[in-house]
Amino acid sequence: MKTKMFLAIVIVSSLVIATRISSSLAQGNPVFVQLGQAKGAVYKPDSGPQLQIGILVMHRESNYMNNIACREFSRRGFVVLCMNSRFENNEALVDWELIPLDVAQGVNHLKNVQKVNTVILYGNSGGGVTMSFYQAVAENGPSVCQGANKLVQCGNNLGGLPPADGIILSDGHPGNPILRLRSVNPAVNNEKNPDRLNPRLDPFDPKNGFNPEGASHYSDEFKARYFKGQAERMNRLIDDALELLQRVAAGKYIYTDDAPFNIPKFDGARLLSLNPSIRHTTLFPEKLLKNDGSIAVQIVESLAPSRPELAEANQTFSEGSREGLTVRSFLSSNAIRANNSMDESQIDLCSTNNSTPCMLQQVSVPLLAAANQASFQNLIQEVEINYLYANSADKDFIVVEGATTGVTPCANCANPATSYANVTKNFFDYAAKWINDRFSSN
Amino acid sequence: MSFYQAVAENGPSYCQGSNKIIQCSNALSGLPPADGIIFRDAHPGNPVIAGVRNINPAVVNDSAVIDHNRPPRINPRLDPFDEKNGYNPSGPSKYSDQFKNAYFKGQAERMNRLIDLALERLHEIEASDNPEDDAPFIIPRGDSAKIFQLDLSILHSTVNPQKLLKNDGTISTQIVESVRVAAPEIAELNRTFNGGTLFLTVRSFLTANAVRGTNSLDGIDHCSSNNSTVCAVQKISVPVLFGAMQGHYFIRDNEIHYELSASADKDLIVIEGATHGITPCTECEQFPGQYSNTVKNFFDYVAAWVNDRF
Repeated sequence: MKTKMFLAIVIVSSLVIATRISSSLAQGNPVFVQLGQAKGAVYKPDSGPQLQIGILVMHRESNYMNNIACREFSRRGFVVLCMNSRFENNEALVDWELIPLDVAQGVNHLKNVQKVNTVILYGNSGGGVTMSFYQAVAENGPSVCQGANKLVQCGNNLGGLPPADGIILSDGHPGNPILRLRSVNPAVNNEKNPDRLNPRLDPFDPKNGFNPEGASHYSDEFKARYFKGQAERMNRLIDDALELLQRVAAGKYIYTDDAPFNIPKFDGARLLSLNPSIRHTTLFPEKLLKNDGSIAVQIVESLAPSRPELAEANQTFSEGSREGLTVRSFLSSNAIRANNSMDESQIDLCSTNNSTPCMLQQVSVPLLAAANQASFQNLIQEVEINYLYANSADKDFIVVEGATTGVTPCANCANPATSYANVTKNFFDYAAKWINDRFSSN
Repeated sequence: MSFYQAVAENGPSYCQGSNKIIQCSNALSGLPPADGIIFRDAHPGNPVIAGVRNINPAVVNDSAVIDHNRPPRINPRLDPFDEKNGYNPSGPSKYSDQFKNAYFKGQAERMNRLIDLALERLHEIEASDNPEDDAPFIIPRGDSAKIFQLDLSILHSTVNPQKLLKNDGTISTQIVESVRVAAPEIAELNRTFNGGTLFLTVRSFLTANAVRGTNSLDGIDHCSSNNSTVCAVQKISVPVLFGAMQGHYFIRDNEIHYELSASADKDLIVIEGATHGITPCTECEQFPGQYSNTVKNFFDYVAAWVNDRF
């Protein structure tokens, strides 16, 4: 990981917002567009001159056709294409290595139909790795997502994709597999008997430090054991999945193409959402975009409240098992090799193609990485690490005070939501200025 | 749409009662009814078309499959893809009446077994610490075993003379035969995960994929599910138009919907040579362009139907 200089001085500066918002720029009627197997809605000002900058918004499977970015960016004078991939609302269907084909449909639409000359990719939460993957492939070709180290390789059908001109990651996490690696319950040591837990690794046992009423506190020994255990369970699951896939391919299983791969207690056992001592700040002094619009540079503390309710969620099918996966969707979009879940140097970051820190090393265009201080998954340090891995010569990192992952004011933080009333305006003003500073003369 | 309108016109009592596999809640009170409904090649409901008429009845060990991930065990006497039973891998199959009767009965029996298994799981969930939760409910060989896709003698026509909107825009009244072609390739799909497996949860199975019955063709307790066109049209009073597509296999089902509909103002039309998606069924054509006007004809007819009334 790259290092950066420690800045001890707190700098407070006023944000000069270059883009004025006026009611005349309001988007009245988003227009539906079919984009191959994907679909989208085009938001743009109802009137005015031809716009030169287009923004593409998408997630691998969530419905982003009405994401907050659609209206906020269009109000600021951009053409915004908000898309749903072919896998909308269906995690079990995701074939991650096909995702760039859907993003490409959007880039081509913005360039060829909307006639913009600059395209910015905008990825919120899991949309961040979607856009990072796309841009890495578009800049370098399919070799980025091929090789013996990959759990799943992409095809050469990803050749010749049009690269975008910049990327904005809004609370973009490190990728679904790393999230799962850090959320899998390592106390399960026999997949055939997931109810039998190893008590030494049970994160929801008060004897280990769990607090059902608030913040938990685990010992360093427990944490070290836990992070190693998470990687070990993930590796076992990968081995099971690969073995099952071989049987499927050899015609030695019930099915001939794919197979169910339900993983009890696969999600919700995220220690850094339980124990505020884990990755609860930025690594370095970073910019904090405060509610009054000023910027301070400091070590930024996460505001994400502890989530003891994960104890219950981890046991459910709907959350703990993520409603069921298949062998292929697990390997493609939920699996990564590692020896330790919380140490990037012990994670084989590029063993999956769904990895922001892997893909950003192959991206050269300008990058804005924004972390949201009240992200429900406590992502601020993870977003910072994405930024640190990024290869872009022009890159920026900022934390938005009191913002949730959805870029709205935190309503369950220690301070009332009114303390963070401006998060939406502040972030989109900042992002609009970042875009205009770089691309408005194109 | 038929479920919505039936609830909007009658209130939640329509979807409640001890005969229902899943009952609706009173949250469905006070919904605003629409003024008319157009059914475009509507099927009898997902539990019928994706459920009881779709599952392979030859599987005899569902409990072991669902509980212990065992491979499905096949009863060869009910195997629709066995040439000894009439399957033709190269074209239309021909099954004996005896086989067909056993098959339809077997489909209903397998569906009833699956419902019992799912209800058992649901009761376990409701008694657990997370009573609102769900569980996987995966049914191998639960899809792509509709034998009317193989044997074109099944559900092949209307029973009574009905209107056929021909490619030249004229309408004739006649017994309308489906022009669909056989799909022997479903034999392969039935063995796959993506094409032959119902990848569901306990709740999604029971609410949208399950219906009680004694025979998948004509012995279905349609109102045991709230996902039933057949049940709902009997409780709808506004004008209804049923448009059936001749290049598909829902002609007779649409005629049944029409016959059972309680609407005083109801109409049934079959679109000559149209696929389920309204486009021309080119593989059904005897000469190129035979069904070239399906889209125009259907939407012109629908537009006139709407304008004449509203």
